[in-house]
Amino acid sequence: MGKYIFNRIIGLVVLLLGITIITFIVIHIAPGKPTDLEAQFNPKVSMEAKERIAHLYGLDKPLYIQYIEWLKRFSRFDFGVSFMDSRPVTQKILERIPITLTIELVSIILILLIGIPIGVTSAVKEGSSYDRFMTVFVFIGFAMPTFWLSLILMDFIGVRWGVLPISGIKSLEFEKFGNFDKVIDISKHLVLPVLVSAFGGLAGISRYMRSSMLHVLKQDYIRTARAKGLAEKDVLYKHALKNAFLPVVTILGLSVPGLIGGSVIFESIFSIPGMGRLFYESVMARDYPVIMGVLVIGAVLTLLGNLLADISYAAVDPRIKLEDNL
Amino acid sequence: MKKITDNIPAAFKKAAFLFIILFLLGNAPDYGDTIVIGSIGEPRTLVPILASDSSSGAICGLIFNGLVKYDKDLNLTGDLARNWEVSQDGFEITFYLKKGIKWHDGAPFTSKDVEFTYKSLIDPNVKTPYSGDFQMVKNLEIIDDYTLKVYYKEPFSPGIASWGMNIMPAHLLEKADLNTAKFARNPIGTGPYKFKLWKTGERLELVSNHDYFEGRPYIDRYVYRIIPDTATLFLELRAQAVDYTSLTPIQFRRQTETEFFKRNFQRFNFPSFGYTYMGYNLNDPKFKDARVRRAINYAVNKEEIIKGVLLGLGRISTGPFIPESWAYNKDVKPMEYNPEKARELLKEAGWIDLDGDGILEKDGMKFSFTVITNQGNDERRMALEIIQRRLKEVGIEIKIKIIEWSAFVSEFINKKRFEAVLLGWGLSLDPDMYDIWHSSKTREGEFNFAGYSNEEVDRLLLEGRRTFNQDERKKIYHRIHEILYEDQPYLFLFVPDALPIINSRFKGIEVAPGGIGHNFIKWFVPRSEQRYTR
Amino acid sequence: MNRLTVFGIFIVGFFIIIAIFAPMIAPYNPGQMDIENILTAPSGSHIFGTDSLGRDLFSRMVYGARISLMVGFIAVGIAALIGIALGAIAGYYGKWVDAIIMRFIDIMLCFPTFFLILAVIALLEPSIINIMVIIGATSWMGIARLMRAEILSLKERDFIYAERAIGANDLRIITRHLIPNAMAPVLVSITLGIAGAILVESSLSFLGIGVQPPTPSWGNILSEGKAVMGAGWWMMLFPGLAIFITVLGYNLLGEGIREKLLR
Repeated sequence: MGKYIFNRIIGLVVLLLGITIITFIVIHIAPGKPTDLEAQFNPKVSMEAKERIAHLYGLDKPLYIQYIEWLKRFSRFDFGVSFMDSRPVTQKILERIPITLTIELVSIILILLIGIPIGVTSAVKEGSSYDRFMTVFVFIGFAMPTFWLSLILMDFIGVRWGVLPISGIKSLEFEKFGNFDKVIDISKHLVLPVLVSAFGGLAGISRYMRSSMLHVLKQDYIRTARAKGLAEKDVLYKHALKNAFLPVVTILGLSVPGLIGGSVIFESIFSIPGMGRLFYESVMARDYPVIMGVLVIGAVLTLLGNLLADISYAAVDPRIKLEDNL
Repeated sequence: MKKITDNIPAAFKKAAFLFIILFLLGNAPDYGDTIVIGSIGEPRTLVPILASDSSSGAICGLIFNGLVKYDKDLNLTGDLARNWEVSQDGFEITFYLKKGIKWHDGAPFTSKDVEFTYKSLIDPNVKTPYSGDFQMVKNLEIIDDYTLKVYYKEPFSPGIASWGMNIMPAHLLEKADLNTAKFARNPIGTGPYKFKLWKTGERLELVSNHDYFEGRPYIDRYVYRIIPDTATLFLELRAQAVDYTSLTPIQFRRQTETEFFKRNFQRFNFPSFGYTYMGYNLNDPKFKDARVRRAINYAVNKEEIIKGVLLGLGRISTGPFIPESWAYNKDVKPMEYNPEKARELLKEAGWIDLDGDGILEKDGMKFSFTVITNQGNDERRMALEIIQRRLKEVGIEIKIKIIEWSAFVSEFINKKRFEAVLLGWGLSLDPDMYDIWHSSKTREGEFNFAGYSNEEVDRLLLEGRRTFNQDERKKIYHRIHEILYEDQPYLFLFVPDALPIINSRFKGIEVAPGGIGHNFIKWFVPRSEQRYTR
Repeated sequence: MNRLTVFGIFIVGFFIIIAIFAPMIAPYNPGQMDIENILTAPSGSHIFGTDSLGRDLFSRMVYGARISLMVGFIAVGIAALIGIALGAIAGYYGKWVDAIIMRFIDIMLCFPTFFLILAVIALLEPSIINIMVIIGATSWMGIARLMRAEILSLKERDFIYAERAIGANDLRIITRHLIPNAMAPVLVSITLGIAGAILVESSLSFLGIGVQPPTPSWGNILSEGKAVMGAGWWMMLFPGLAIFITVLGYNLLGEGIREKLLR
């Protein structure tokens, strides 16, 4: 096992290197330059000034030198400074992670709390009108364009009824609140975004849980358990459920990178200063250091998530030999 | 003795006038309350000489001052400078600074700060986009704490306006690297508002400067909220969580015409400092003939575009100047919409529909071209759709291509890979347009991307830069305006209106040619209507 | 057959028919502007009202169905082609071929789809074709994995050995025997993929990088509707509903196929 993990990690490092090279090339050959936005088409900005700025960013050096310089910094876990505001990339990313992480975690927990029971009960009552109702319900969440649903909710709940704040994550008077009020304030702001994101994600987990449960229910050992005369409740919730959970756990492992990824659309519509928006804004501004930073962190998390998923799978299911996979 | 008696009626009149105004307003201005601005953009940096986006500019404008500024009637006036003198030959400008002005941290403002700002602007290691105007300066000399002389390499009249550049505190920044200074997120200025906090992606807060040299602003707190989506911004406005933002024409004409908005908000419309145009690539054989360009001008109905795209909230533009400024030649009348005349002109120029497919031809080439514009601007896109339809009626086919901004600039504009382009220019208040129209400014990345070249315009542009007398400059720019409209290197389309909306509890707002921002520090909220009372 | 599946088929069929017969159904030319009648509410002459250039919304919706469904079908078609081919090759040949393809998939999965889409659209331009290609080129990985897994289990079956014994070449075995037998889960994935692609297009339109107007797509009509929110509820209601119902329809159909084929 130890050797396997070691080998996998070496493999991951090589993969990561490949990813950084590809990313670096792609973002640099994409048309547009950071200096275009800096200037915003202002006739007072001379070509000389633009060239000078490009020089100060090091953009006039050959691409491979720029990459090597980036790699050197990266090896010290330094992602450089943003072209947009000259702040360290790490700092820019770190200030965005907490809010994205909070929203994603809360909505994942909500999805699990609602989605798993829906999936299990639908499987148990397969084909019933309850099952059909739930099928339609979870797909409605999936099928609604996020921003459409969000705007409708904001209009009614936020504007017309005035129950909840419309957007943002804090009130204007936030700094003067006590700790308790601060928590209440943030929670109020997060209700709509979390609900919308959880509603959208419900279909995935609940359908997965449903088919996993259906699969388990058709297995021999369940039939055996029933044949032995165990109470139906025990069969379902002791034997079947435990086994049906396993695939769901791996799915969760794979969603680790999504936890810090966030979503541009969602964050734009609710004015949440999260990772999705940071990434979108930096792509639009050709802020190379930030783009690289976000992508590399994302890639590392994805690769680790994959690794964890593989390892946990192997730990759970002894039939899978790890060496096969390499 | 005489002087005093003379002054009594004047002083009395002044007081009476003020009294009447206050009486009309119902009560004396109260201090207090907060104004919440809603913006889709976030400032990048609050180091004024590095800031090139409009959000940073808006905030810097409240924290800092320049030596000069434009008053409400668009005339240059002193800001940090009491006044200034230009030498006879135009080579020297002497600035006399106001005394007793203090930075927000209490340090006195002196000519050292001006010198420091100038040196930063021309420092090759500072990432400032504004070095251009200051490259014309030969050197800057401090006479004393409140007097300084600027020597130019040649007479340069736009130079005075360029000293509207926000001045930065030397004592805080002298030893710092401006590019990475903490100052960018914690600035100290001389302006009416002091920086308080900046929560990335959420909001910035400023508080009023009680010692401001033009008097303490009435509104205590200024909050700049970042709301990246326009639909959300509108909802926040409707919920009155935002006090001040700008509207789109549709929002102005339709969404805010309700009883609710009329009761709770005041809306304004006045010409903005910019115009929208369709620029030709003049090196393209199709557009070499001025008759063709004039024909297109006849064929496009500008009124219709203004009605359709701006819902009437704009005016026809005939040249590259701010309509309210002295440089704008009001005698240049827009050519009427006249498709017949357009067809005639096109025929004169040799464009005839030979194969009867509805599209003109000349020398075996169809009159068909692609107009590019940047993605994300609905007004430009809609204007193009209307132009497309009108030009089709006279036998010209256009295709529309919409490109993401950064790629648009570097791949298409800078490399001149376009036939025609629909864009807008924001205008600075000084009419100097050398960089856009002079025939020497056509290299990659320069702003005469249309490739316009006219000897008389070249000469006038240079003359305009060397002339300080406004009446003489006026003649020069009026002539440039005439020639440009005759030559039609651009199809000048319209000047859209600025459409700010402000909560009605804010009083004292005054519309002038310079917009409404000029007396911001005099805006106030009567105590009874104040909403954010701590 | 399950009632929900029937409902799904009905929705899917309904919109496909609308898309095919768009020119006959639409009462107006979808590009015809009427500056005098901007944003008029639904009425007898314009049953869905008009948009911000006075164009008939119903006609734009009908033509938009064409564009949106086309984006869905072709994008998924591209994804299916790439996914099936790579998945089959990886599964059939195994060893280093498999290793390379699987690593490639890993790399692709490391990039946020959105980044790839943005990079390519910036490189090219947001034309319909590019949007279809890029959505397809960034969504084949799931199909490839499914295909590979199926083929891995199928290739050890007796009938494949028999084919080999009679000297059938690899291409024949893969295309005639393996792929058809492995299609069931892929088919489900394709059906759901169409729904996904329609949603992706609407998200791209939200950011202004989807199908570009004047060509109408449900996504860009919806995002135009967002811009005039409060002045024309019909501009947001109808395209929103159309996307919602269609995506729901494809999901229900996909579930139906899953129940039918995978049991």
